[in-house]
Amino acid sequence: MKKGIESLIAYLLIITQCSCGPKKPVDSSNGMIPREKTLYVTGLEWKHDNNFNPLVPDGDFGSDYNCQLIYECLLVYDQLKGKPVPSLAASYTLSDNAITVTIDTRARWHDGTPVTPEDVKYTFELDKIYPTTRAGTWKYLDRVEITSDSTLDFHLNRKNRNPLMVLDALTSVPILPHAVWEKVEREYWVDSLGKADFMKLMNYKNNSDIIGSGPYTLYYFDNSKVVLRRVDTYWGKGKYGTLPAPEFIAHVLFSNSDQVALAMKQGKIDISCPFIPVLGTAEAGPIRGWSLKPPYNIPGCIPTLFMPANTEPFNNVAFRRALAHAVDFAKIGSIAFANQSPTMQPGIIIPFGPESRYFSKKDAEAFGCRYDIEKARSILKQNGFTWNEKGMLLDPAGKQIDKMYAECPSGWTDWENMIKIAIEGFRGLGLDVSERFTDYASWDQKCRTGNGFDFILRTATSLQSPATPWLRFKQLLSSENIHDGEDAYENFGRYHNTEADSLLSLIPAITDSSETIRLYRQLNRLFMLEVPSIPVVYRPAVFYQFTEKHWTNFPTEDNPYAPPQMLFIGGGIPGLFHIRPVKEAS
Amino acid sequence: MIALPGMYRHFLKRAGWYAATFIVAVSLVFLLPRLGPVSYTDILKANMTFGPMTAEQREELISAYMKEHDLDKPLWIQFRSYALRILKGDLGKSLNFNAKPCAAMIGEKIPWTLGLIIPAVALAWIIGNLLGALAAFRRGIFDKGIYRTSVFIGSVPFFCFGLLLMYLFYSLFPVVDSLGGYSPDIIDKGWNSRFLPSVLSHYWVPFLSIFLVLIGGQAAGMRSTTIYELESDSMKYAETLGIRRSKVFFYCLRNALLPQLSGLAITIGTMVGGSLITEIIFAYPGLGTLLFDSIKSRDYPLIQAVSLVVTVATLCLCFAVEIISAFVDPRIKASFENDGGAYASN
Repeated sequence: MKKGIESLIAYLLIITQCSCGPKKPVDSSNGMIPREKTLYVTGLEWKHDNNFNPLVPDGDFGSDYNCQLIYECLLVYDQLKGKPVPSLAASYTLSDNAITVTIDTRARWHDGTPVTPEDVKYTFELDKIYPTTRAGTWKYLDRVEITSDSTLDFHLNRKNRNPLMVLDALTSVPILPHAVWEKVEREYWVDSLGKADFMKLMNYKNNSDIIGSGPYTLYYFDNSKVVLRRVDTYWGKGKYGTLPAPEFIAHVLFSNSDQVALAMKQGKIDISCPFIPVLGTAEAGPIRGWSLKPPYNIPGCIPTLFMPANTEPFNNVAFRRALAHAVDFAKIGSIAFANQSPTMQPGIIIPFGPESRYFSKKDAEAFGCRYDIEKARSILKQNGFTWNEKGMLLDPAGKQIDKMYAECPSGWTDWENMIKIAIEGFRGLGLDVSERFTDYASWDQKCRTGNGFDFILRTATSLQSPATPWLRFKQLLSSENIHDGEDAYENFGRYHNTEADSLLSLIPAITDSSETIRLYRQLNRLFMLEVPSIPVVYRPAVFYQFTEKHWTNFPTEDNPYAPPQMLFIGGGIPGLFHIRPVKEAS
Repeated sequence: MIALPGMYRHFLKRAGWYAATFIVAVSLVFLLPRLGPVSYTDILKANMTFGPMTAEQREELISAYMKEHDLDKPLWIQFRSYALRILKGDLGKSLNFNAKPCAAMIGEKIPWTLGLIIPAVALAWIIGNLLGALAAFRRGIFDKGIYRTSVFIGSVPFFCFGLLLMYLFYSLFPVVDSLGGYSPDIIDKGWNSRFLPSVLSHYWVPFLSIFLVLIGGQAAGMRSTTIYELESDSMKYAETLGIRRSKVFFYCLRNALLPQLSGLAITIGTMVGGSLITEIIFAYPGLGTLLFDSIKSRDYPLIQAVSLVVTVATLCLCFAVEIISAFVDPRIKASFENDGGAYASN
């Protein structure tokens, strides 16, 4: 028996030895990262492809725009303030034709060289040359001009003036060191193209000796985790007065939110962003969110039920309004979303935080659709709909409405429950509706093509940015990018309304805040009257959950020194400088 | 000596069948992922939902990806490239992991899966078969106890058992400190006093979740086969000759084990895919999760590579078992000799 166990151990030794992936040399840490100096995080990545190239659509942890730890943007968006705040920039000003950015003269790359306007111009122009996912920024930009040793002008495209989207780019384009990336470009240069081979450039993994400007750099990676190590010469020490508290940040992979919740309860993970349904209950143990009271986090986006607005019976506004009256929003918020959403208000303006200035309660009462099955049935009746002897809904021509399906990706349990609750209401109107939970790619394909769905649940932009809420309105109402036979990446119901398009083109260029409020309210009224889609619940832009077993002083509702943006995203970064190890704090 | 040609002929014939099965499998793993309504292009497009790209920029980016991976070429050319690559031993590059070589990815994952499955299946096979044979031989309360427990445990799906063990050992009595293959604070995965104990402490619960379920299935199957053998004329004849019960048990066990041996190879092969749920439940870093992720992301080269490795392993194991059975089982040996038109010289 002993021999057997020894053989088993020997076998395991061999197989585990073989399994070592790529990694950095291990230093004095004795093969481990010290727990008391490491902040463990999960949920920002679902695979570690170990590509830290910020030009790829979804770079690995720490390298993409979402996590400004290795590279930094000029500005970051602060969800609490509702506006961008400086990061690499010291300040910015907006004029009629340009956004002028002054770079913080203290900003340095990890090799000690200063971050210059040339670096910024070079980075933005990469997106002009190559089809990166940020290339569309140039739809709104005319040119980037260096005006001094520390300033640049981002000249707006006069034909498509949209400072909101340019500001969005300033908060989402990580600035790269010109000297380093020009060499990379040269390595893959193709003379006949006059530029680098784009795919080779994308396949450049950028996983050793990274030169960024952020507070961390890559320390270790394999296919199950990525570890970043603090840069002790980080230029921001002068700005923040200190270095970030964790010496290491480790992003670890899990398969689902149950595993994440377990790992957090075990004290293995300090901060996470997947939806944890038990948050706020005894089952959550030490896990808490921004607030101790429901909805525990600040609403930031709106999962919405899209309908094919141009096909019968959805092309009938009365039918759409009746559907909106049939959805029990309170039940969705409390049951499907585990009390993590306040009850929906009509329209698509989030009536909390900085965005609340655009919300009109009076309009919501006058034009919005609230849960009221009797009213829904009455609207249908008034508009020629009838019911047969079995109680099934007949359209104005007397034909029974075909069977319908409501869809979302399978395994997204909160969304599946939202669909089930919405369907209960639709069935109450006499519709034959069933749920259909499909795989992610199939669901996404239906959204894009606009074919093969009756109801499909999706969140129009979940990002909080300087373009919020304009971007949400655009993604729900704009027909600018909707063309027959072509994929659509927004407005999945393919709703068309010239008034909405016109308002959407006006808002970004308006500088008078009262006028902006007026136009947003006008758009929201239009949305409430037309109901091109049904917003069902508020959810945070990023779920923010943490435990204080190893680290304390996280930003919270009672201690709001930084927004609940995961300490890595946008304006959340200051959190890294203020958290403290529990041992030290005690 | 005279028997060998017949046996060789048979093995050659079987090798031909296995080669044909391999070709069919290789073709199917190429074709099936491409036949669905969703393609890798859709995955690319899904990744481009965010970001203010124009339609032309999206098309340019997608075209670049398709060209890079030859997905812009007709299917038969893609198949030809794929077949040629296999002949050269090249498993291709992942689409979803930024052109990372599939062989390297499998190399990182397969030791974990094999480390989980082989000991679990082998031990379950040995112990399960012994228990099943003993149950059939001794009957009475011993039989009832083993049989009912085996049927019960063997009927529990892996995921149920896994979840139950997870609840027991991670939540109710938290003796395992974290999910995964080892503690997340370890970065030196080598022969050292931190990594190896960590691997073992994370190993035993996923191991048990497979081992216990398999033991039940093996014991129940072996019990039936042994009862059948005990009822056979040869065993009855042995008993009437007054041969010791332990000797009869040994003969009976040897005969009953042969069909179980054939099942062993298939069990190992299917368990690579079957361990998927176990790997997901325990966040174990194995091949099953890699296959699952590759299917979700329509990562054709990775689907092909993982399926190919599993197929080759299963076919090799099955073939090896056939050869071993032929040498171990005189009945099979005799049938080859009859097929070959030759008789044993004795």
